[in-house]
Amino acid sequence: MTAGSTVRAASPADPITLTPAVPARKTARRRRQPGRPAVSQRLVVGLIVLAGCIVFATPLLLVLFTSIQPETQVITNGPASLPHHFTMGNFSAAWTGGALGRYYRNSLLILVVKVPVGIVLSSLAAYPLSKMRFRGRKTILVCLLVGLGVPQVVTLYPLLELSKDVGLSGSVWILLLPYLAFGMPFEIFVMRGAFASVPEEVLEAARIDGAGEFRIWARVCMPMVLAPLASLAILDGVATWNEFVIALALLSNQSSDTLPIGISNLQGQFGVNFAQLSAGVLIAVAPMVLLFFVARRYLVRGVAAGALKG
Amino acid sequence: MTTTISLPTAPRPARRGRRRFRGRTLLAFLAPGLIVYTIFLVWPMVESLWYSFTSWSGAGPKHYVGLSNYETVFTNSTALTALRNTAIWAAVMVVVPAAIGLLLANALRGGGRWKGAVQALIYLPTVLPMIGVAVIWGWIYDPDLGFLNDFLGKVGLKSLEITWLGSTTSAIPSLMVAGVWVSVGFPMVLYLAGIQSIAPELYEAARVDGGGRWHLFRHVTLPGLRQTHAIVVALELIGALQVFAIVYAITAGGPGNSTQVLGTWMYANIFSFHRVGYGSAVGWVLAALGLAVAIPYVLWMTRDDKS
Repeated sequence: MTAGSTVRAASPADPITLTPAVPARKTARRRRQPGRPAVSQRLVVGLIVLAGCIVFATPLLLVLFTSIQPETQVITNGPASLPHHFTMGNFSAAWTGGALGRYYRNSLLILVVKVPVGIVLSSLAAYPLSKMRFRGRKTILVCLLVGLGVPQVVTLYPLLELSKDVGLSGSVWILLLPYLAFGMPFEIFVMRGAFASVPEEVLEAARIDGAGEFRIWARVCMPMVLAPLASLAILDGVATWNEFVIALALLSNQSSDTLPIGISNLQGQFGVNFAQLSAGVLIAVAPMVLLFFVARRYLVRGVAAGALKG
Repeated sequence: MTTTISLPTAPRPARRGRRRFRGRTLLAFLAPGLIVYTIFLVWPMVESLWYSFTSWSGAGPKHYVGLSNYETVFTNSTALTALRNTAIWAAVMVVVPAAIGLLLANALRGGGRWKGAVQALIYLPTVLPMIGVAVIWGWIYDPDLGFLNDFLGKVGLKSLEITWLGSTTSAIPSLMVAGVWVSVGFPMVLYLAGIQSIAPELYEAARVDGGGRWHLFRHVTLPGLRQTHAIVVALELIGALQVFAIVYAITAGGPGNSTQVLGTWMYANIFSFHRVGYGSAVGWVLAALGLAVAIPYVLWMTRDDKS
């Protein structure tokens, strides 16, 4: 599937408005093929999927529709109605009133440092774990991966003490090292799977040419796993952008809050002004939703490969 | 130049594909990651384990109290509610999203024009922050201004309107609906990948034998997904045990602590009640459950890896 068709097909409104015409057409086209499931069967499955999609899309459409109409309209007509009057005012009100700019800045700062540094650290560690033989390799590998099962909440209080000792309280950078640590199990999982696909002969040839292990890692191995790297960067970026519980415990003032904490603040600030709240939520999630539509193939492939490859 | 160097070394076969390396090289690769991981994940775990055996309030000296915090976890009614809710949440979040994801993946198996659109729609919520999901669903359930009651009233089902989050019977199921909503995309993607790795010849053969949709699903798809099932169950379970933001931001454990889960109950004890010792014990019950899933899962995923 091309990126263009992904973007077009994935618009949330499409399945509702366009799908009804399809099952009939498709079944008619396919009826002639022998062994295909019966028309009625395909129709039933199609209708069930369609109904599911409508239910599924409702919360998304609700936020979208609410954010583009005046608050008074949401109240008089009720949230379960299509918008009649449109305004962009909620977005500007949420941006300035909710101080979203500052949250954006903090989230971006963490994102642009955490993701590359995390991937480099994990790729470095994954290389010997995948490509070298040494005593204790399996033990280290298992210990690093088992971090997947550690709930962040358990570590919050010690992390808070630790970061006070380091003197980073009140700064968004307090999140960096915990984020790096908690990102590592999944990153190593993915990178180990990726490195496993690099043939030994290639590494051996580079060694014979006299290249050191670092050179081989940087110049031979990494360029051969660009696709998994891209997937990993996206997944890691989404996770970092959305992280909530560590930020909730460690960030101590609004000037260092990241976007998820910002959304939580908006909830307290706007209360039941759902038009502005919706606009604020949309502004906060927009980068990841855009990334999702642009790079969905990498995202989905990364999820599948990361989880399925041992 | 390449040939002159490679000639004498080429005949020596690489031992089982991997070579031995000097400790210093190894250390340089492993140390940065291991140091960060140890200080900011492993060490905090160990510290909170130590706290869980004390009556510490977060300030002053730490008094060792043995297992008494754990005794409280398994006798205190709120802690037991949190434990039960976490177990129910985990069970529902493993079974329901996996079942829906599997059925969707199977329905989309044949491909077709709508596969991409449906897949995108179902997967989209998983890139939203949990707190955003919580804000959206908290509003849907709002008794007066919420979408759900408004919708029920407009379609003539006013009798079904209830305060979704206000009663102890409906609050947890309501939260679960939100949880399922964000959790379906992940198993669907895994199942789609799993189904695509099943040899098409198997489907063709079953079809030639006159198998219908159900027959194909039962005798080709399901047996081919055994490994995917294990992965889906393990990862959904790990994710479900860590449930926090949805409960924290929608009900904050209420009404009357009826929706507490281990994560929120730990957080409340440590950060609101300053019972660091007891909260850490609640947290370690959760961590033990998480590790009980993660350790066998990781050992299984790395089973081909001999060292």
